[in-house]
Amino acid sequence: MTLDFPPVLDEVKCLSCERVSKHYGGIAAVQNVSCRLDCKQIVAVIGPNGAGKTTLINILSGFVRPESGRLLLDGYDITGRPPHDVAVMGVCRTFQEVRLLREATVVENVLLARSTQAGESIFGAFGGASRRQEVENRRNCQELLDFVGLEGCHSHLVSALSFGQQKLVSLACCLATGARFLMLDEPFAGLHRREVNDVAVVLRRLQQEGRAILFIEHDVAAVRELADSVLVMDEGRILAQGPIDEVLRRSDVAEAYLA
Amino acid sequence: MEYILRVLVLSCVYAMLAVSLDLIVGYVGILSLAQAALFGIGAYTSALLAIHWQLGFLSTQFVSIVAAVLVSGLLSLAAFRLKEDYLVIGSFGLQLIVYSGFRNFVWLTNGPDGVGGIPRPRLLFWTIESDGAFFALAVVCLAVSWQLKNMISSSPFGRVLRAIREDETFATSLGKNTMVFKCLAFAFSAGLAGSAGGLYAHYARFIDPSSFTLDESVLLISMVVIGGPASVWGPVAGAFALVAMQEGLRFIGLPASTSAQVRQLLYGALLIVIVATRPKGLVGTYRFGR
Repeated sequence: MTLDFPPVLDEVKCLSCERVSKHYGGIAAVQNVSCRLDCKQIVAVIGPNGAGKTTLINILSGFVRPESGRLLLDGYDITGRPPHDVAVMGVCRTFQEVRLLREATVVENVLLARSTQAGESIFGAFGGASRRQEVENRRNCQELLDFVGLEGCHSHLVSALSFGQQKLVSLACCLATGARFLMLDEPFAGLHRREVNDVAVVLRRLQQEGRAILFIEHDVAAVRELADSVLVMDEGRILAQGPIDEVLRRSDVAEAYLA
Repeated sequence: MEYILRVLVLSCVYAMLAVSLDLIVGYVGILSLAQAALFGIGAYTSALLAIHWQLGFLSTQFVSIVAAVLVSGLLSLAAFRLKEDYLVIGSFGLQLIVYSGFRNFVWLTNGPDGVGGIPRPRLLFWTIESDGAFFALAVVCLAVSWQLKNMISSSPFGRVLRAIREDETFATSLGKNTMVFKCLAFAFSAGLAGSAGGLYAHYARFIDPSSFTLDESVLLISMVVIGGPASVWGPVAGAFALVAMQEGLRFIGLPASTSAQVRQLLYGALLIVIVATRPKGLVGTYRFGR
């Protein structure tokens, strides 16, 4: 099955940040970090706790404005754009703790994420066109849920799902926005091996569809299995980047992270 | 009969207000203390236009709605800067400012003496004189408000409002401009409150600032909470229940000097009982949906 929802642009696109920095109080969360995420690329960000990984995702998704440096999307400077604008432009993120509407059904969560809904304008809410579009959107969202492996869970409450299934719903929400760049904060944390494999299969398929994925992960096996490139962070700086085997052979990486 | 009709009309006006407030309290999850102020803006606008310009009911309703929406813009401005508890304080400030305006712009509102001689509503060539006809008009106005609110709340727009209530950061991460949704909800709610104000002014035929105090705003919140926030029938049930309770106290024979205090005590007790036993209200739902 190929995913025709949402559409993926064919042109070569990239998301990058140039020399971005962010401090919290006196602590440098991110210092002079530059990185680039290309179309159809999967990049893993690894590093010890407090290395600045989540802050980097916050910057890339517009949730945190860097004190210096630039954020570029397809060559355009989007530094300081509000996070909802960045999401509309195609950069969507998940959170370390699963953020979903827990008392809503799975399909309602994904419907919420669906972009360009006529019924989301206050006057559109009264029109028949929005109701027709809602039927179509619901069908599309159900296909999307099937794609991520949540067949049969469409009408379940999110709170009734396992942690792993909730992570898949988060991923489906990201996809429903039409995102081309997915920022995933620890997508495998708390999952058992089978669930890790399921998520990895989905991410591979998304890569083949043309999406770019940047994910934070501590599970080296999952990183090795999935990532084209690894970015190692420590104390807010990029310690190393490149293919995982090359990076892990470096003594400074072993000392900072693996030791 | 006349008394019963008066109580029913009053219940309809309060139900319209509770329905309007439910959009903010129930769906967006923001406690607004300014609903009585918006109600008052609608009432004064309708009263003054009907007295000085002899405008018909539909025209006064339209201008009342626009006036209330414009004043709610102040609350929206506050929403750009303030969140959660601070926004509640902002709405409290708006309530106080508008109430002070009613009392002190004597040249316009006649201050504490109020505005009297408001004509009965005129619909094209028909002036609604009897209480029965006015009750029918109030029911129609309530039905329209209720239907509009339910269309909004069950639409994708309403879904975003509920998402903002549950987790604004999550809604933002999905590309929703939550501030725009909040401002539109404020405006829509204010429009309904302004419409209720216009209806009330034409019915009471005399209005003064004492009808639009902070106490009224708190009473409206009680109606929404007791009835069931974010539910189809909750605000209507809450409004009818509290108006019926208020009127019922008249028959107990309490001395006038203590009846107001007893009423406040009963509201408090009822709120505690409802929150403890039915946290979603008398007819509230227990899930994210409508």
